[in-house]
Amino acid sequence: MSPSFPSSLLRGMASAVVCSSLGCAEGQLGQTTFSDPCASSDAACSAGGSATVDDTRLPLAIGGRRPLVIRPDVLGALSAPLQLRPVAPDIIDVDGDVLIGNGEGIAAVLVVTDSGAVVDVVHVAVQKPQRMSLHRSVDGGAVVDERALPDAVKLFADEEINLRLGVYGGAQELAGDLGEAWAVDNPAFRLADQGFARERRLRAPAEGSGTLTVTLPTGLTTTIRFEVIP
Amino acid sequence: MNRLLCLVTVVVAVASSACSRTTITVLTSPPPARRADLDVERESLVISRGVAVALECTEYDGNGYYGPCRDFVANGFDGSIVDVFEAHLDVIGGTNVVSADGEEAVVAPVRRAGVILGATTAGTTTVTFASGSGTIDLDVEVVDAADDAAGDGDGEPAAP
Repeated sequence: MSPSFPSSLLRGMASAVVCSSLGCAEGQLGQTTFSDPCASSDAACSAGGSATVDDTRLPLAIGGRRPLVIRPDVLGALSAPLQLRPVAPDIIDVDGDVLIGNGEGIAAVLVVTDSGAVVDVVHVAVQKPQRMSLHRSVDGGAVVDERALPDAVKLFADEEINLRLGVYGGAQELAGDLGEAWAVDNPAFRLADQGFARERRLRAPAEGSGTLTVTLPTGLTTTIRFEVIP
Repeated sequence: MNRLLCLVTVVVAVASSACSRTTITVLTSPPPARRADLDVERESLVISRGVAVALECTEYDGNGYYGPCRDFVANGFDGSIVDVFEAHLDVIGGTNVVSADGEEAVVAPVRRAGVILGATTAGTTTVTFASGSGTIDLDVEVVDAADDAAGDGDGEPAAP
């Protein structure tokens, strides 16, 4: 007989259907799936699905670091010791389970076993950040309002909002922790870094106004003005 | 006499090529605007830098075996231009083998033979794929994406 159509590719098609409903991505050999880490408030994700806000399919920003959750789907093994290996580290490099965007382009990342055999391949695009916007988020970042906040926003006294930074290249949002700096020019506005990339919690004072500025290491900035309604 | 010798030589060559054959095929696609163009006839591969493709090797040994390459190795390449890794592909559950006199048999599950070829740096090199039935010298050209935006295989920038 002629060699059959690889069943791994058939499995890949099946996992593509599952992934399209759950929000993960699959390798080109159909032997692994990739997803973002679950937020603690994302119950569906923690129950075995993928993150509600899944950045897996987004290009990675230059300078961005993106962790991936990798799940093998290999015939003959429930689990396998896997590592990531970059093909062109000047475009995408790897640090454990984290992809690092180093230069503009598209490059493959290989999923390899401890013996060096490649189990799967994914290609990831890296783009230069061109613009940014701020968004409201709820449930600890599990749900993000895709509508960008305008240049000026009114808040009630002592109101708290969660903010998420959107970074874009071309028509798409870019993924990755960029190590951005957040600052408000009025210290009465309290800004909390609760440990998650691109997210901050802001508490308004009883009265006053202030401007929040977010700056990337590349110098790209975005600002938003808050005014408290007494 | 020379004409007769030439005729015999041609017949042997045809018989030889009919008796055993090693074939390389591409299992995966490149991402958009990138290339992984395998020309089986010319035994050449043009691939964009940064791209990785899965290549599978099959062989017909002339004695009835047609399946994954046995004793498969890939070597001889310039490791600064491409990286070649063993690929873990699926196992074929029960392979049909046709013997020389036409009898079919099913042999035990066999592992598919393949590699992942990753294009790391622009340049040219040759990868030699060897199986029990022969070798293929695959000429590989790694092109920078910006240097072949036309995708016409000439490795030149797109015309304005």
